[in-house]
Amino acid sequence: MASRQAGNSYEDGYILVPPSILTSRFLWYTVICLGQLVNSSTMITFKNVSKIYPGQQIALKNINLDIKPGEFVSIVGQSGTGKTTLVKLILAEERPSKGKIVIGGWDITGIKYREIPTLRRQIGVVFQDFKLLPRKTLYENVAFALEVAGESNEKISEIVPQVLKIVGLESKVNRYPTQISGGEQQRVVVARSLAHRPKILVADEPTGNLDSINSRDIIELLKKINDFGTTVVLVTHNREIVNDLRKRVITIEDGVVVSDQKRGKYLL
Amino acid sequence: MLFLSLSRVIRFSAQNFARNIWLSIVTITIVVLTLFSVTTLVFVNAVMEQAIQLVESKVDVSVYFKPTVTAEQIFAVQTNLEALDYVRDVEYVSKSQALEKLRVRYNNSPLILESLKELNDNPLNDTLIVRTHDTSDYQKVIDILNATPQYAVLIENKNFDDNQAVVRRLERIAAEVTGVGWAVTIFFSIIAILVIVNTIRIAIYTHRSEISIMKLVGASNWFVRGPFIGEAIFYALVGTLITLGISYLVTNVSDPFVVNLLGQTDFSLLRYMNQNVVHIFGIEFIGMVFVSVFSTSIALTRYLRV
Repeated sequence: MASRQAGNSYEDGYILVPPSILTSRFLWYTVICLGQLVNSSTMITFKNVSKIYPGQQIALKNINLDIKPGEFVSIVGQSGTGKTTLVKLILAEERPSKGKIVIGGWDITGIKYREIPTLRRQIGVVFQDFKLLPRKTLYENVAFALEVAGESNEKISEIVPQVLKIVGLESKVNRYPTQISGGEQQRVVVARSLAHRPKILVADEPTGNLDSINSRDIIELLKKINDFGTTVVLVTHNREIVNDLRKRVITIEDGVVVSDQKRGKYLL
Repeated sequence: MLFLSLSRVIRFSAQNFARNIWLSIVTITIVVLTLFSVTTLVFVNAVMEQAIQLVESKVDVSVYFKPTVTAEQIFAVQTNLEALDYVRDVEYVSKSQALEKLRVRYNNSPLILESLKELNDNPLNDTLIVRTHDTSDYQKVIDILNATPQYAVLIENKNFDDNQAVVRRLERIAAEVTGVGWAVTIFFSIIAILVIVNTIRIAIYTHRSEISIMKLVGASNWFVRGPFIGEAIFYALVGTLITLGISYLVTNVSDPFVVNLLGQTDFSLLRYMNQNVVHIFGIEFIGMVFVSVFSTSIALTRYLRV
């Protein structure tokens, strides 16, 4: 069990690694091993979190959440209820107005600006609008996520073909995002999010721009990733998908958690 | 690790430059137009300076000595004048040399030549031609000649009074031309900087979503900024090299005209460019790198807060 670090507010058994801890390769390896041993701690914790935008626009109000490692959680709600704000808080794109957020044991409530890249390199993200780099090939898009983390060229040339094969795009590695379909683009995004073997994968409306067949493919991929032990947070308002999953469902309405069911259904 | 990141940043810069070739071409065109305007002004200033020097070199003070004055007395005056630090040179022209010069000058005027033949004695005087480094110093020479009694008794005449008005006018024109030249250069440079800053801002604006994606997959600010700064340095480098090529071409074509215009001087625009190529284009490259890197960094800042 990892001990608390002086000057940092880590929970017992952190899984994500703040940059201040990455002082040596040995320590980094030790922390990863410790992280993998911990099963009891939570992966994502929101304690009384509120987000109020300028003009007193309340996006989230007193959110309390505990998501365990390896869980598959769907966060549902109608448009404008605060689902995307919740994703932004996990990625430190936004900071909470009140409350505390702990990701993988790392208290990111007051995360320093320069620490944000380190957090994001340990979380996989899938967006509704894909967010692929248009001037890079599919291979380069996936490789980019590893390059920013300083991964070696040898490791990159080993991992990238593997993850592109997992999503079934090994034959299109040299194409640009504009040369493939929406469903294929989303699969590239999943491959990119998998490349650095994240502990958490956050998917914000990943099927929003896809037809039903491609949507099913993406959800199957997410389930497969979850089977490997990755915590998956799926934000969606697709009733069919949520009901088919039969996993934990958290329902948000007007910025408030109105229901949290272990094997839930789409309630709204 | 640092080397790996740096090599990636350079690779991304080259990729962005090549894969966004139309934006690169537009930006480089602006850079070339800017640098060529500045280079042209530098050349115009150099030619103007030469033209002014040419006119200034035509101005001198001629001191005509009385016929009774001996050569030794004249040489004494010459030595004293040469000792003045603002005097560039003092040329002694004997009256026979002066007559010969007159004959050569009016070789095509039979009337003057006939008149000279009719004279029994040489009507001209021994002369000292005084040239100073700066046209404003001619008055000092005149003042010394007037204020020194032992000179006054030897001198019959001085012709500077005739040239004084011309020299003053020339000085005023030279100062105005130089001033206007630099004002135009500075004015164009400011416009050029604004154009470059705006072009780069637009280029960065077109990539704003790309920047946010890079940030969302965990790129540090340095990793995002690096390729854009690299691209900006590419723009400056390629733009400077193209401007250098165009400048050589234009200089080659215009050099005969410039040589013809400045006639008696030893000035050649091509030689001026060869002598100052590192200086002119080095400063232009460094200036362009500074402007483009600075504007890239400023333009990026607002999109890096993701």
